[in-house]
Amino acid sequence: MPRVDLSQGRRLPSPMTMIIICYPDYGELLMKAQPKQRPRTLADLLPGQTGVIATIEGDPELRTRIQSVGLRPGRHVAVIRRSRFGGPLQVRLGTSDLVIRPQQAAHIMLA
Amino acid sequence: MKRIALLGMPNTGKSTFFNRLTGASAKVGNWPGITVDLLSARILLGTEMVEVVDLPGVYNLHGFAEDERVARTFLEEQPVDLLVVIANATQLDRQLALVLQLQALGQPMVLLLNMIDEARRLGIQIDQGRLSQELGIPVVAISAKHGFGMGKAREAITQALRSAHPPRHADIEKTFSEDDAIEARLEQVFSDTVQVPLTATDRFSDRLDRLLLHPWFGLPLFFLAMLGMFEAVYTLGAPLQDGVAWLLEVIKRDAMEPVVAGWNPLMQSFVLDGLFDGIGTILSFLPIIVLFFLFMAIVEDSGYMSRAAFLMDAFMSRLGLDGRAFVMQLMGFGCNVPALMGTRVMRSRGLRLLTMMIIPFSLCSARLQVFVFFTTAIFEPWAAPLVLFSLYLFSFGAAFLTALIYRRRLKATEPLLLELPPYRFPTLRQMWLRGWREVTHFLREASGFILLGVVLVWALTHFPTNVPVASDQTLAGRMAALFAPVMEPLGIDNLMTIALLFGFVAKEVVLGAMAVIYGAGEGELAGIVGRNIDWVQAYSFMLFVLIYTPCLSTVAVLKQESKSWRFTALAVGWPLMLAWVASFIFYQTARWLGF
Repeated sequence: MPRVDLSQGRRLPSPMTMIIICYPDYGELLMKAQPKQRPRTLADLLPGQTGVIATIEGDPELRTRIQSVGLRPGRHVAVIRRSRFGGPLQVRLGTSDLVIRPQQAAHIMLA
Repeated sequence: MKRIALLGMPNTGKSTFFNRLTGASAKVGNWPGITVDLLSARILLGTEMVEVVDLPGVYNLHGFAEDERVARTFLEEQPVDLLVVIANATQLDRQLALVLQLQALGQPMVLLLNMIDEARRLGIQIDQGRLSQELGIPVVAISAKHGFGMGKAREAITQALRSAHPPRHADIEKTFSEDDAIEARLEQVFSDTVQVPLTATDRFSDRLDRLLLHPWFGLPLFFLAMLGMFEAVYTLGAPLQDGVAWLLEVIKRDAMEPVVAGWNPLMQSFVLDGLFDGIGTILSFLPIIVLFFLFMAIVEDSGYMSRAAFLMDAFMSRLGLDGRAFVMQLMGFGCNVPALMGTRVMRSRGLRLLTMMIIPFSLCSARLQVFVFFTTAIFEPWAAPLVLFSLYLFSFGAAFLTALIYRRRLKATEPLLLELPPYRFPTLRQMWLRGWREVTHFLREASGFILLGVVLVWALTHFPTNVPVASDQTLAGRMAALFAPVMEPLGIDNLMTIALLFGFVAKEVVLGAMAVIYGAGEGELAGIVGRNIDWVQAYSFMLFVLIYTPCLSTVAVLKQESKSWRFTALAVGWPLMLAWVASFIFYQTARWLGF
């Protein structure tokens, strides 16, 4: 079964087509259908799942930005919900909630 | 005079504290090398006057975000006597990082733990004494929103200032290498001083989010909320605007006209139709700006803005924008001016400028007047609503097209990484202060520009003085003749071109101008227009009105907010070109099809 990677930011078709495909949310369905696999990055986590940050990859600018909002190695993170159509994730970090796009979340490697 | 710099991460209530400390006396100041507005105020602390500067929220002193660059430039260029750092007491696990980083600069510092009421409600316990001891700086717990602990905070700041060394510039480069050591220390200090219960989340927010961020109901509720706010601002604002218009009319008739009665007619006209109407144009925006920012204060402070970003981001990110841009675009449908000012929540300059490019395409209420008039004058009753609806579609179309074209040039330089704060409600004081500050800012920055423009258009339509006002023989008429080769392919004749020139000042005056031009009362205008132009011409004219420069006030605010003449020229020039192309394609195609 082909792996659906939401983190790569699927190119969406026109807004009209988007409205047509919007119910049901196939992306979410496909994600649930994929075989259970150890999530590798923050972008792989499903709502309700938690992980521990191992490393943060990418260029220094992005790494600094991610770390300075508190997403540092060793911290526990939980995905609360994901926005539809490959939109951002709501991530809980201690007492703070953050919104992060899957493209950036894919740079956060989990232990 | 001694200088205090106010620092903290975004969403720590830093600005609320600043407002508490300084009242409404704050002014937008200019600082060398800094392109964003920084609020500063002079206040009396103890026995001396002190300048307090509110720096933009930063996560990291060594970060690459534009706000972080601004804060860094300020600290490096301007001597500062004391750093006052605001931290959100509920998030010390993240926030102490900045405190430690700032401490490495070696400048005197006071730490304020804000939102202490929220922290207590969540059961978070902070050992203030121990924290102060470990950091070696004064620590005061406050609630800036409710004013709790403000006296102690003032006292601590005054004390620290008294013992401060001579002011210095920060050497931020030097402290770069210490960042790794800070992480270890952060863990240590945090675990020593703060106790967080296992389930320290805001249950109310969680429950509300389950509804408002629901995969199916989230977006419809978002649109409903936006519609509600929109309705509220403009149903409350319209009578206020009418009131201002009525008041101005009364003053003009009963106070101004008798005064200038004996003057020569040209001076009379200049004072009444030039200066006074110019001032009227500026004043008519004030009620809407106040109301808009009262409601914006709710939307921003409630935390719904980041929720909007969460909901709309998937779509808006394809356009190089984010969900917040969509909120502003929607607000622009009432009036573009406050919507442009509202983009200030976006901290990335590229993102902000791109949003400011698309807002003027929002079909504002002033343009709606023109369209309602034309659609009822020219179109059959069954077609009129459809025509109006199609114009709304064109409004969105032009905005999205513009975003697609310019998203590479005006790139958002920061990845979307927002906080989702718990739901809060601003106090009336916060809301009022916001509205007041925006109005004074608008008056100071944009009013001169608007007045100048109105007087210019007055001159164009009143000179030379020996011909009828706004006729073919005036300067405006001659300009229209000059534009004729350009405007004729759009089906727009000379008289309508003069109306477009007027429309550059404000769309509200287009109809009045047409009445003057056709020499008719506004009541008879519909019949005359209906006889003079057909529906293809009318639609082409409406397309042009929709897309070209919305009004002088918008241009003034584009300049005020971007601080760049180049960008302002682009934001005026591009829609003008687009308007021409759209009208051209429409008019020529319709004619070619035989209409």
